[in-house]
Amino acid sequence: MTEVIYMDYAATTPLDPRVRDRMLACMDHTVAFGNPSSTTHSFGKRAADEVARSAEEVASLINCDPAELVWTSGATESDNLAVIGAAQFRAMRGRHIVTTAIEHKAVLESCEWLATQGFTVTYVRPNELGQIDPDAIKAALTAETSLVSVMHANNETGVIQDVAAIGALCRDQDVLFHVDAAQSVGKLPINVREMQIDLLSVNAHKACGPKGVGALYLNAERIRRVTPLLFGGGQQRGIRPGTLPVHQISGMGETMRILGEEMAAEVPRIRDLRDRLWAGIAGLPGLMLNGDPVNRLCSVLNVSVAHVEGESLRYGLAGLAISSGSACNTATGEGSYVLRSLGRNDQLVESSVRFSLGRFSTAAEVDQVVEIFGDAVARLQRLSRLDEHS
Amino acid sequence: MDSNIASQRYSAHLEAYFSRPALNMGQDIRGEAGSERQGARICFAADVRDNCMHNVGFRAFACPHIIAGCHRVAEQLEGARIEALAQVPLENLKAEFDIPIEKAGKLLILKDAIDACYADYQVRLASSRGFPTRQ
Repeated sequence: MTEVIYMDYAATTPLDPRVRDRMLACMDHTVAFGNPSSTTHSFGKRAADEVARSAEEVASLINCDPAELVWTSGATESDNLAVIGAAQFRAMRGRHIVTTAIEHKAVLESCEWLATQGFTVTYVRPNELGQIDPDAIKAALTAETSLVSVMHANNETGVIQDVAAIGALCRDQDVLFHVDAAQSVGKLPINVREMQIDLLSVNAHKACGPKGVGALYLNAERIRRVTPLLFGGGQQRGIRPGTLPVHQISGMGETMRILGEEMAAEVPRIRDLRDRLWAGIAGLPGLMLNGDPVNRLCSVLNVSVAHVEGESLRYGLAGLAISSGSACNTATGEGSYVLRSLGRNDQLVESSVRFSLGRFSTAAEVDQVVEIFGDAVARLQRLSRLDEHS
Repeated sequence: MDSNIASQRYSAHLEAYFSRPALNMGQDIRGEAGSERQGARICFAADVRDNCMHNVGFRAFACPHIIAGCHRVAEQLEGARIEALAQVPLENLKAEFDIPIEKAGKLLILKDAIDACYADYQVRLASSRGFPTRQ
């Protein structure tokens, strides 16, 4: 049986062996299995040291103080905690949130929940390239706005938003600014100070780290705490209580350490692979690139194929581990709301495919994908050409 | 985005029919139904000789179930008498390819295309064009 080619790094990534080794060391009974809150003995101290080391590594990548980080179970929890926690904590300041129509559901559903609690939410729409105009954010601000939440890079199209510009206008209006950086960490430089970001969600598993761990940065000068979503234990200043999973945190620390060391070389390598893939399929009839062709992550290529039925295309691509914008397997039945926001119709949403590359992607894999994708598209286009007689 | 595009819901039998190359299409009769907006657009065509169909082929913008179904119908109709167009058993196709209930509408589009093909035959038969007997 032919091996399936993995090009779904934007969904999750394989664990880097170096990360795995450090995590395993933490689980060894002689190393750091202790409770990092139990610093009255050496086991707890070693665990606390490992957590502190990891916090330094995460902080170093985004230019914050390690004390400004709160460990979470991943970017979804970080987003929930940032949006709900900050909105509730600053409710006296105002009960209006500004976000975009193309955020991850972790943000959108948090906003929907806040709406049930008396908050109002403005959803700024992107242009046809998936870009959010900072001026549109500015225009949406009111005297009641307490929080703006905009993702750094979109998970479906990879389109990068100008978060520095949005950060500047939010700071100017004294509005808190949250950024979901789940897709961009390790692919784009992030400097929370320069970008004037007040809350930042990151995780590890999109960057060859472990699943089940993430962090939320809270700018200590702007917001010292948020209303917690969990209660009990008092860990992490009560913002996110619960015994810290040291091995997970250690894995995230190692993930960020590797990103910091290798990002400069990895980003252009992955971009070359992505561009090689695009060069190989761009000439196919009916192929459309979804999103900004320039300002997007090095790793993502999202395309739609005109006049090709989505389910058949996906079936024809069963040898590839990729993602689609189809609704056929979701509970919502709405298809990709991101691609719809870019103006794509039902057929183009259904036939959309996201290729996302990463650390272990190779040129040989890209060439195979070009061939498999080209064959599948050509076959289905021939089959669907109704103007043809024999 | 939905991850992991896999083929869990399709049988090997369906795979065999879905993967067949596009068939040549005859030119004597033709019937089309559906649209991309409806999720399926299907065209059947065939040559007619001595009241029998040859070069039965189709073109389809459709899901794997319906494409496999079209291949099966074309196979069944090849060489059959023209009246067979009025007797294509949809229930058999549903069972054979395990076509889920939510695709019943698309299956009806397939049926509509076949019916349109038969209607085209009747129109042509009634017209002066007719169908020559060929050797």
